[in-house]
Amino acid sequence: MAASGNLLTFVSADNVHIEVERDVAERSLLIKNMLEDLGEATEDIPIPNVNEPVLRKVIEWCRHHKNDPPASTEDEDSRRKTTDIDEWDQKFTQVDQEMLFEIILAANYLDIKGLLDVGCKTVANMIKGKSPEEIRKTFNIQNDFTPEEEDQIRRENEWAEDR
Amino acid sequence: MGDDPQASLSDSASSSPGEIGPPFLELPPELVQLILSYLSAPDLARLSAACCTLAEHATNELLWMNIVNSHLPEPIHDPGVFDSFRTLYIAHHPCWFVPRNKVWFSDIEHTGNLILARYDHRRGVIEAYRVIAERRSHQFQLWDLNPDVIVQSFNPKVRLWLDDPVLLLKNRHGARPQYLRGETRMAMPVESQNIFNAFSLCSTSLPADLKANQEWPPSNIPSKHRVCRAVEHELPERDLQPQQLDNVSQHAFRIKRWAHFQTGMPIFTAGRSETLSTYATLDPDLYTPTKEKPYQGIWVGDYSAHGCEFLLFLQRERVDEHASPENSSDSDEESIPQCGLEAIKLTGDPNVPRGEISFSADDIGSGGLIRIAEEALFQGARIVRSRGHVAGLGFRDDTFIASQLILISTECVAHYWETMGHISYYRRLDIDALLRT
Repeated sequence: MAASGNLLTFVSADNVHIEVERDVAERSLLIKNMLEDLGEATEDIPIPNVNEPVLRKVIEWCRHHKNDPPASTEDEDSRRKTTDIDEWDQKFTQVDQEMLFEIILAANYLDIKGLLDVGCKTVANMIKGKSPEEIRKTFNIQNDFTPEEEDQIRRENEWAEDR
Repeated sequence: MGDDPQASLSDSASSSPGEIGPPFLELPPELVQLILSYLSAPDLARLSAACCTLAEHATNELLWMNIVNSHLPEPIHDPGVFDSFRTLYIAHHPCWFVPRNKVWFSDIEHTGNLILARYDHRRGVIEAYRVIAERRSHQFQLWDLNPDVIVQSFNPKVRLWLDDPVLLLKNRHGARPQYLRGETRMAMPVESQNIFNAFSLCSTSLPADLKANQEWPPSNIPSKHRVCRAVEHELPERDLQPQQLDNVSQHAFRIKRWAHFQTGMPIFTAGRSETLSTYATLDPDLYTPTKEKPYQGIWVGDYSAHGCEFLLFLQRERVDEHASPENSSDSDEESIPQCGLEAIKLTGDPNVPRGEISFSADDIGSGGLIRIAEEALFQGARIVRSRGHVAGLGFRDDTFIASQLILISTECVAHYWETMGHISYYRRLDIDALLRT
């Protein structure tokens, strides 16, 4: 079913058709640029690599943020970035880790800067203030240092200890 | 775990370890870097101890360069005398807030002290120098309106006193000072004259029963980050010195300066030969001029016999009780801000000391307007009602006298102390230009 008027049709990697309003879809710069090149989109738009549940989450985010002002890229490196996340986005990112990383990958692929930032901040907040052991537990990471390496890395990072 | 996303394992990772790793480590490197760009330096340090892959990610130079540059007004592009940006960061951890906040002023009795801090990339040190102003020669000016009033021109030479740093933090090659374990001696040229200096951090925790005059910055200056001064009263060590990184104030530090006499020389009691001063910074919003607050900034004023003094010109937000739309459209035309102007001394004198208000105009807009000057000396300047702060020695019997503020330009104003019969000038300082000297 071809899209008409302001409705587009995304086709997920697992071949599910999802209808999206054009202004929502254009939160994705990839889609926006593509539509600009095409003029009128009459065909279904395949979104390879993004499965239906992830794509639905991404569209949910875009729909909520469709009226956001365009992100300003100025000043970003000079100022330390904050990891503050607004309330709606905090709720939105309360998903299991696999989904969270899928969302980050999809946001990166679809070029949705706001969503990519929210995803990355969420992961950063999961690291903040944690000890190495807590970080390993959080992300299911194996400690693969040799005892010598571990000793060395501990000495190299002594400066960061509180006491 | 609160609102942390569940730390669930992906099926593939738990069923076939080694084949597909944890999803975090499976992200493309540029995305891992993006995530890590949100972390603080201590977080990166802890992260690097988790596993080999993360250790590699967390030592990426670009991350550390951005962390260092987030503390500097002008970004640097190489680590200079250090072998990496990471080493550079660690060398001055946790003191990067000193160059980041640039402007610092101390609680030394009466006079105070204004210093500017920077990171000297060439030498790899954090340093701060005193701002000094010389009045230079001046001429008497004639004020047609009242020839009896004394008006002296004011074109001060303002510079940093580069001969003698007030603060000098240098750390090369490993031997990092233990900033959290008490004061750090700063090796400076004045040691040849047996004068010694030490730097220490301030704690963010305030004792419960602190009096207003024991806080720094003083109450006249808006701040969300007051610390307690190290006045002679016996404060417990824990209230002066932070024990943990979390308690280190990013908006204050202390400098102790003492003379040490060699054997054979007279011995003085510690109380007299030692000064411990607390320095605080200013929120940049207080000294950055805006369209609505064009006079805000750090200024130098002529205090005749006392010499030059530095002031913060502050234009506080005003909640207008009855802001009528007509008034605001009037002011749009001439763009005259409807707020007041306060001049608070950053450095002072035995009459009106540092931290006190020097003059205050409640409304520099139409409400406070006396007239527009037509005489040659101030032609075109708006003259508004003001109050000048005067006091006897030791700030005794301080009082506000009627005065007039002559708004010549946003770079220069004059103040007519009516009953004292004289007019003194104030000029804006260019902090960033001074820092580049």
